[in-house]
Amino acid sequence: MAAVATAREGWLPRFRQKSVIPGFGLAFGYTLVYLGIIVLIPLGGLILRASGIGLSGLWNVATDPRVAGALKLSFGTALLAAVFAAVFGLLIAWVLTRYRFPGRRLIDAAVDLPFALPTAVAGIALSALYAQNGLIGSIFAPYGIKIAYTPVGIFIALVFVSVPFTVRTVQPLIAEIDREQEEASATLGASRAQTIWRVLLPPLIPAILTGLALAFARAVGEYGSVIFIAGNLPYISEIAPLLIVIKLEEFDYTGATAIATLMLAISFSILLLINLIQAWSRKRFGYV
Amino acid sequence: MQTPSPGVAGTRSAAVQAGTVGIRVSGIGKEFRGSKALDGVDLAIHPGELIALLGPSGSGKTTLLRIIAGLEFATTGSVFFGTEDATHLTVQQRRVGFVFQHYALFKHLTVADNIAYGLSVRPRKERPPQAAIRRKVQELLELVQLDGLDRRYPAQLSGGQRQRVALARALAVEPRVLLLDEPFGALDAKVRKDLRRWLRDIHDRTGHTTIFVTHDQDEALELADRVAILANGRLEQVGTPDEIYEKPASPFVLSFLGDTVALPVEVKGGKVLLAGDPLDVDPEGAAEGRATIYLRPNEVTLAPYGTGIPGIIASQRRTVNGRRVEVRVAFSDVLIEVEVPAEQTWSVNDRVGLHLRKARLFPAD
Repeated sequence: MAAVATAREGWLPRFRQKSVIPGFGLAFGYTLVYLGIIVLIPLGGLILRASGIGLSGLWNVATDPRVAGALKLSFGTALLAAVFAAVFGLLIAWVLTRYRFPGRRLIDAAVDLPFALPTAVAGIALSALYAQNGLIGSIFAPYGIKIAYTPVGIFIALVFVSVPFTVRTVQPLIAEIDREQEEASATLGASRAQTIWRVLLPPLIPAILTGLALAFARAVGEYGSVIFIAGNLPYISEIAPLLIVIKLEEFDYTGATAIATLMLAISFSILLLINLIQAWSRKRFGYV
Repeated sequence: MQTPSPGVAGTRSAAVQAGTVGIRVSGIGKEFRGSKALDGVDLAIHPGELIALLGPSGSGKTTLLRIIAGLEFATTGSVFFGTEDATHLTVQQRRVGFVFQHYALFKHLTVADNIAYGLSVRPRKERPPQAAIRRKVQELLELVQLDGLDRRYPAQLSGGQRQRVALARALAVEPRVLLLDEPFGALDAKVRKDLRRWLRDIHDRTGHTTIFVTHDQDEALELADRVAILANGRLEQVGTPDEIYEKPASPFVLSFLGDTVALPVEVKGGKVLLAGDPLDVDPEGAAEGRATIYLRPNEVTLAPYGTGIPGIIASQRRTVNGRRVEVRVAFSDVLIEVEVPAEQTWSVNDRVGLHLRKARLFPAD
């Protein structure tokens, strides 16, 4: 056995980990091929296409007021929505796991609906609700607050589509919380609030960040639900993905890929940053 | 200040910790959805005493401990800390140190932060300065013999070490009483034994009034000043280890504290009769009527036939320390296993007399 293992080790000396489960080569190779075909090659093509205009061309696209406005709107609302969804999702997950009430299973199932619903349906429903003559919009209309066809509407649509991520990532961890930890905290004299802040929340932070990253990624790329509620006014409520579609319809493929590349770069840096914070927090909060 | 507990004064000297108090519970009852977990429990614990709550699972021992801690509230009855009625105090107000069976350490905090937790959550006015907290943590780490591990996380410790951290964390808040729920239940046998001795040692040095819950008879007898035995939510007996072992108050206590064999007999005219024949056993004023003799195999010796309780050797085997002889008691199906010295040899079907160091006679139920 040992001889076989050593012989194989020569083949992939640096990655190979000794393991009882066979198939390292197959699994690793499959992963690379899959990642290449599905993710890396399309993204590479995108960057290649955009690179036709050069860095200065890219800079010109990025500084175009309409593009800059759309990017700012997309990333701004996506980040806000992700943060809001993270807080709100944590609360939903807490209530769903900690409390027993009639209809709990129904609500639990309903959390996933934004996943299943075609986003256009969600967009139409939301804009009908939040329009000035809609059920909710009409409450705010008398105070001069417009929700649909403004960035606020975009924010609401993005929260809607991203909240399942934040609920589902923290839910299993909340279920795992040991009641004895809370009791221990109480016997040591901590108030309920101190127990929540100092004992219950810290171990959840890595999961909350994972949910936040997923929610953000989903929100940045969201198209279907947003275009119905956004109103799509250039400079005000026009999101970057819509601008890409507009460029495509004008046969400006280079412009479209340039915006897409910018989105890719910004998204990647933000996700990387969240991942780094998460890695740090895992260490900080004792996941060794 | 300390009421010496009978039978232990002199052998064990615990300096009573300043601020620790005695505990008294009276008439404690607890119902969970209609079923009674505790039923009228009265118990007084002296300041500085180390007492074990012993019982099988479902006896209510953990529930009683949690009621004393304030983690659970009794349906009836009251809890006193010293002279103060603590029945309606919250767990935070009671100032108890509680050690959980599964440690319940905060996984995201280092050992030092775990121990400091109770001090650091105090309101700013009562909170000791950082340096004082650090000093206290250091002291406690030394007390529980974990110095140098202050920066580890709980996941990096062994079970025994985690339980020591849990105890240090409980002691850090200078509790009025120390409560331990099956503190060694999740540990392996070797570590259990070490920690037992260690806990006794810590108790003798710190002098806290301490209650610990266990289902392990050995642990209770070895460690505690007094043992309270619970069954089905009722207190069966409270006493020193010697008292409960030598003078068990009920067949339950007797059979719970080790192997016993039950022999049905009859008490008639001041004599104990086995199948109509008088036995060489003192009835000790037992009531007339059907009764049961409980035999502890380790209190039985074999003698020639004609004395004691008659029996027939059913089998015998050699063991490392001697011989294990199985004796069938005459006129019954009762088999009893007796350990005898290797020099004593018997053959199967030999008739023998069983001598009891002590007959334990209880009326039949």
